Amino acid sequence: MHRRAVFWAVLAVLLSLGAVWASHRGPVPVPVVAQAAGHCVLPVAVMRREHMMLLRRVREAVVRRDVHDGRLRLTRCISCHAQRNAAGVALAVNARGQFCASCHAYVGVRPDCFACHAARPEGVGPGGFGGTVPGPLPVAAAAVMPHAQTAAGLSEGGP
Amino acid sequence: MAKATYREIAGCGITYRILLVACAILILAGLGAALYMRAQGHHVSGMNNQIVWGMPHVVAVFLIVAASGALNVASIASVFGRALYKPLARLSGLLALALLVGGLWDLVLDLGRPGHLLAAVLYPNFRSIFAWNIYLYTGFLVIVGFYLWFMMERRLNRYTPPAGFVAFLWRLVLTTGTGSIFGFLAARSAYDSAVLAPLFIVMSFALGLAVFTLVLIGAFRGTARPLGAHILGRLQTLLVIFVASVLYFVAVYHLTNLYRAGDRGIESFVLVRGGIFTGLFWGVQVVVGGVVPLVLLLGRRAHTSAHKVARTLTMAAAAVVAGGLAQLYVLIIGGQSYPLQMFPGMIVTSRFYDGVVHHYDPRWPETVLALSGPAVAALIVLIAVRLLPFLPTSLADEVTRSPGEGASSPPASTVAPA
Amino acid sequence: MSGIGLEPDSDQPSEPADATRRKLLALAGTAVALTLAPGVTVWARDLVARRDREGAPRAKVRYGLLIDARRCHTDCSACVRACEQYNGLRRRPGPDNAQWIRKVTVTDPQTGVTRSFPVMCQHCEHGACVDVCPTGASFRRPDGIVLVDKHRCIGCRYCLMACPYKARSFVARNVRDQKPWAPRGKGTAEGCTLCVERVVAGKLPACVAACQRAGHGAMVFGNLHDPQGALAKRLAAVTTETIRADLGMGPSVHYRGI
Repeated sequence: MHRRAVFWAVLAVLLSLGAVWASHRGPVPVPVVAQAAGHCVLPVAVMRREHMMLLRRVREAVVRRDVHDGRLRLTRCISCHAQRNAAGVALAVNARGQFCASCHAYVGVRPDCFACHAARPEGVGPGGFGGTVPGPLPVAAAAVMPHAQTAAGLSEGGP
Repeated sequence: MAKATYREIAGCGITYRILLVACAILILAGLGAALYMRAQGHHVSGMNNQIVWGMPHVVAVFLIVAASGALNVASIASVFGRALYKPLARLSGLLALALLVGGLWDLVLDLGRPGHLLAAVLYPNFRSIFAWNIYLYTGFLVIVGFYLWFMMERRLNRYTPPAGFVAFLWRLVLTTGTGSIFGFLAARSAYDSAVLAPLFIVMSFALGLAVFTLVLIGAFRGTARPLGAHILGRLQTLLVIFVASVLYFVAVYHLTNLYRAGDRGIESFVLVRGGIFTGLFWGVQVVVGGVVPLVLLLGRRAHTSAHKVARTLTMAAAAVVAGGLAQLYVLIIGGQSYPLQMFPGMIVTSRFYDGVVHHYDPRWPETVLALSGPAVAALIVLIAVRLLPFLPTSLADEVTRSPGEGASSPPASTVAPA
Repeated sequence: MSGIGLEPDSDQPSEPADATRRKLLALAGTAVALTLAPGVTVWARDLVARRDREGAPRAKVRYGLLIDARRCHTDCSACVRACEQYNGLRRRPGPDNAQWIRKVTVTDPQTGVTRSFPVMCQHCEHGACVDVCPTGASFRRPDGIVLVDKHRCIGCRYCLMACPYKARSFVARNVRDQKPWAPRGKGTAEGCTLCVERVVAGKLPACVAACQRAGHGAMVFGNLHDPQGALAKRLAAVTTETIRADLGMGPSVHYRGI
């Protein structure tokens, strides 16, 4: 009996301490989301609400079925929304305070995209990759393959 | 035969508490190791692109195989109608559940991305035996859960036989599925064999019964409940048959491989020049896991005291467990250690370890994780037998022997430790 | 104990015979049906969906390679280096190193003849990796390229176990600074993508381009199903083989002179 009372008392104290700790800094401020230049492919309100569903649908189509929608590509989102520092180097969109991280930190959701995807653009133009109209070549690819810029047909591969 | 009565264990003893704490510590350590591997990547373990599956898989496959085998005792009671085994059925079902959960614990926590496990449910690929196994394992948990419920709820007792029958069929399919994880891999010389599925089934009989026997004797010793020579003798008989069957299937597996010229490479690797694998195969799998138990069990004839039977049986069952672990180590690790035959008959070299025997060097994260699986199983059993009446109060000969049989039998003697 | 043997217990049978047995069978049948039902449903749905999607029995495009071991130089590894550079693979020799493409040297012990050539994912028609993957993360695209869909990969490594070419690797370390066109992450399986984003943009895979640049021309890339294409013409002209053709997986990578 006595033991049980002690248990409940300790639990109550811990819970109230937790509540105090959680609220002592006041409400979390609404983040200032960095603006990208130009227009997004869809209205901002739609993007805010539905970008995760859109990305999920697109990833199925692009990866698995080879169906291309040039507008919605994660690489393209990143190349527009990545901020650049004073030296002009692109910053990772999932870095603290950057485009993806600022909102996701506020709502307490961890995006899983950047476990595999690059979080910063690298020599990718706004066209992104894999579209029917190839954008500027990445530096590495250009070094490897000088004649790739011609984007010739596949029969080019012959000896 | 007297009606069996069951009772929860008191669970106040110092041994019980030590076991409980030890299991909890091991489980936490295993969880920590899994989180460490998740945070750092699997390069902190001894597993790599050459030895793809390691310690956790050896132990997990052992537990899963033993889980389906541990259910056999219950099946003998309710499917084949042997009343003698009825008092053991509850413990048998409980052990099956606990071992399976322990095995899945190891398997799931070793995944590269355990958090994404839901993908296997959302996008199942039914050409994969793994996808089937997910259903077979969860189905097993549900079916055995119902089976236990029907056994333990007096009003539902009449549904026990059908539930036991379904559980029995299910466990056969489940073990076939586990064996097929390896049997379907045509690429690797050690695995590409249809014998693996039946081999896994007889292994499950032997390993499951061995684990069951150890737990039964341990529990009855620990709670000072009487355990008669009669029932132990029956378990002994079964274990002999199962161990002999495993040896038979192992012989068939190796003989078929030896006969096929293309598979002589892997055979000479395992049987002759495989270093640790050859040692484990002959020394532990065949001698300790096969010959020693047979000699021990066949050497003891009837009319021995329950004490001696229990001691012999414990030693034999422990030997079978050791042999089973060695067998899975040789099969799983040894099978990967032997180089892939990309160009049969040719000498292959590359910067990516083609054509060389791979060495597996288990490190602490995966070893601790592997050991936490059995701890999970043990913890489940420890807690369950304390909360619910799984263990019969007595398995003395007076209880287990049917009335007509008593006359011709030796005087009853029971284990009644202090 | 009563000796060794399986003599029956003398207890009376604990169930009535026939009615119970029938009930048992019915129950077992139900259980089996319940197990199979989800699988059959999904399978049937897949079949229907596939027929709708693919329509024609033979895809128009099936990308493939021809690797000529006679033109491949033993000490050249331009293809391997190009792959590492283009896809952002770190060179870290060791058993957990990622190797999408590797140079293999094969010696015939009878004649002593040695050949050297690259081996990568063979983009099989019936790949073991696709069959064994529990989530369908390992899959074959309509254009014949076999990829790992890392959104679905749970990191079970069954594909590494199943692949006869050792073409799959497991990412065992934290990865930073991936190339935008080559996502790769810790805890997932990976392998040669045939530089899919270059191929769909009408370019050559990095390894093939590097081989041409090195002046060897030992690798030919193209569409296996286009009879007018360079690859199909070359395959018609010379005798080629595939690695482990006995397994019946139907690789898209053909070799000459191995």
